[in-house]
Amino acid sequence: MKRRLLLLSILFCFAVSNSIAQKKRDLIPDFVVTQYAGSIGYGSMGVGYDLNKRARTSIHYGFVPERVGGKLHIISLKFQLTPVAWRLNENFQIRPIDLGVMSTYHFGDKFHNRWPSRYPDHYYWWTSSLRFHLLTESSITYTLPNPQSFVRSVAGYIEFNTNDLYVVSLAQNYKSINFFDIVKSGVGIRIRF
Amino acid sequence: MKFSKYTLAFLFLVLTGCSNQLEFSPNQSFDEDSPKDLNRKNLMSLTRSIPDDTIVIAFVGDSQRFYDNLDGFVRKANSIEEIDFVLLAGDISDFGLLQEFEWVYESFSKLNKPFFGVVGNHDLQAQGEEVFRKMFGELNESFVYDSVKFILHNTNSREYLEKNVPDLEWLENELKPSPDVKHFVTVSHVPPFDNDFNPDLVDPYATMLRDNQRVLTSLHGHVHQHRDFFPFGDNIRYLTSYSFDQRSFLLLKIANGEVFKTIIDY
Repeated sequence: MKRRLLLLSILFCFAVSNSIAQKKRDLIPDFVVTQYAGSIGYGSMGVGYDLNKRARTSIHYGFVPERVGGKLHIISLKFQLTPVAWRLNENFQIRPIDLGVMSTYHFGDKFHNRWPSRYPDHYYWWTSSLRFHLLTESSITYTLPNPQSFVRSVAGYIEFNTNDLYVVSLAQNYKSINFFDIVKSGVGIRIRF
Repeated sequence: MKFSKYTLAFLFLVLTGCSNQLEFSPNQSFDEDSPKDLNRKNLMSLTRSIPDDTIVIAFVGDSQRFYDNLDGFVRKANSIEEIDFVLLAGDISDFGLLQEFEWVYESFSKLNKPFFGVVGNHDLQAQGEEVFRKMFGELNESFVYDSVKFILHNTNSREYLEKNVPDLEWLENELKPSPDVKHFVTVSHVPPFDNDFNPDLVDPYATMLRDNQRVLTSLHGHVHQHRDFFPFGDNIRYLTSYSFDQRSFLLLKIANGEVFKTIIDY
C-alpha cells in the first residue's frame, strides 16, 4: 500500500512536470523551496512548478530528527493559489495571503493507510499515514534586476496550516479549544529560476 | 507612502505568525511546551501527602476528543476535598497526536490533586506510544500508596502483532507479596472480558488475579460504559469507568481491604 501511494505521488509529480515541460521543453523545476517546520518536517526541501501566474504545485521531503520529536520521514504535496499580489516597486512584491491545500505522508511501521488485518473493519475511521491540510502563505518576493540571471527571484514566506484531525477535534469542542491551537506555522525560502 | 502601509501590514502578519506555534509534524512525540514524566512527578507530590488509611480515587477514562467536558470534571474533582488522586484509564487521546495529549493536560494541570495516566489503544496510534512515554512514563509501572499497590499496565493486545501484551511475566512479578503492600489494585485500559484483549491471555490473566488473595479490584476503561461486576464468576470485582462524554465519574474509597463506590455527575 505504501509503495502504491508513493508511486501515485511520483506519478502525480511526473504528470504535473510533464505538462509543464511540454510548454517549456524541459523538466527543470521553476523553483526550489526550503522550509523550517510547518508540519512537514523539522527541515524540508522541495521542488515545484508554476502552473500559471497564480497557481503552483510542489513536492517536499521533510525530516524530523529524534532530538526534536522524531524520527519522522515525510513527503508532502502542495497546491497553492495567489489571489492577491501587491507590487511595491520594480523589485519587491508582497503576496499577503496565498491559499492552498496539502497532503502529507508519514513513512514507517507506525503509520497505516490501510489498517492491518488484526483490526476488524472500520475499527479506526482515519488513516494515520496520510493527512490533509489547509494552508495560507504570506510572502515577500525580491526579483533580481537582471532578467538574465540564473536566479530570477527569492521569496521569504510564513505559512500557516491545519489538518483534518485537528479540524475534527475543534469542530466537536469549539467551547474549549482555542482556534489558534490548531493553526501551526512554518517559514521558508523559495528560489525561482 | 503606499510602501510603508503595506510593509507595516505585512510585518504585522509576520509577527502575529511568529508568535504562533511552529510544528514539525502533528506526529512529533514532544515539543518545547509538552510536559514530561507526569506519572513520576505526580507520584512525588502524592508521596508528600499523609496517608489516612482511606484512599479516595477519582476514576475516569477515555478523554479522547471530549475536550469540552474536561474542565467540568476538573472543577468537580477539585471541589471534593477527600480525593487523594485521579486515575485516567487510557484513551487519553483519540489519534495518538501530541496536540491531543496537550489539550488533555491543559485541563488536567488545573487539578489540585495528583493524576496518573494509563495507556489506551488510541494512545498507541501513530507516534502515540512515544508521546505517552515522554509525557506520562512507562506503559507498565506501579506505585504503592497507603499500603495499596496500584499496578498500571498496558492491556491493548490488538495494537501489537506479538503476543506479549499484556506482559503476564511482568504482572506476576508485580503481584508478588511485599512487606509494604497489603493489597493490590490493577489498572489498565482494555478489560479482559473485551474482544480487544488477547483471547489466549484472558484465562491466564483472570487466573492470576483470582489466585492472588490480595487483589481488591481490577479497573478499566475502553468500553465507554460503567460496569461493576464479576465477569469470571470468581472473587475479582471488575469496574469500568465512564467516558468523558457521559459527564460522570466514579469516586472509589479503599479502606480496610474494601472498595466503596460513589457515582458523581458533573
